[in-house]
Amino acid sequence: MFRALRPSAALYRSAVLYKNPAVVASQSVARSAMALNFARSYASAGLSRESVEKRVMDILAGFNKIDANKISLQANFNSDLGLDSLDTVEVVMAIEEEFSIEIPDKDADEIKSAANAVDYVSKRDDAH
Amino acid sequence: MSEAQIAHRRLVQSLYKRSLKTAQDWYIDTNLFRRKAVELRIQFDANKNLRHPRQIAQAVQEAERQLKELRHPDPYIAPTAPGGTKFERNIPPPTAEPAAAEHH
Repeated sequence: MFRALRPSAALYRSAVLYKNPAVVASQSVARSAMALNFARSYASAGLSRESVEKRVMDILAGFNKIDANKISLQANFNSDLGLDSLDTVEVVMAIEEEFSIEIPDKDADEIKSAANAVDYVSKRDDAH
Repeated sequence: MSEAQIAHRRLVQSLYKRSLKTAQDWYIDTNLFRRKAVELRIQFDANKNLRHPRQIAQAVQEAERQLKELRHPDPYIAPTAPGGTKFERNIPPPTAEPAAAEHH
């Protein structure tokens, strides 16, 4: 039972080799290469811009205070779609929920149109 | 819009967002939350036409007090936000070599 806990012979051997400076140098190169290889990569490689655009437009289309005919990517929330500051907060919260991210107030302040929102979400690599 | 007006708009937006978030923490059911959200919106709109600085300050103070009182003990935190379940998980390991230890 306790045999499994004993360091294996291979481990001792590598420890001995580690003392040799030439081996240490070659090992350090191997180590950094290993670190590169074993960096975990996620299955989802970010969102495509088209899908972000579509999802943002769907959010706007589902908002009852927006005239469906006026919705466009470049339309300003305030001047074109007629939303006030609190409506903008609601839109930003809907975007947060859709992409499961948290948008800080400082960045939320810059989101003034659907295009801004798409830019911002594409920049965030933790958006889903 | 003057600087002070912009600052005030941001303050009210922040209050509104925090109110909605707090409501979301307490009301899991979406229908109940929607109802509460509409109520909150009515409360905010009721103070829309306040012009006197002291009245405005009072309304803001009252909102802050209520937010503090109703704060959820275990609020929802987005997974990748600070304190969330995925915050700083699986950070790529450092690939640079550590600095040589010269002080030995």
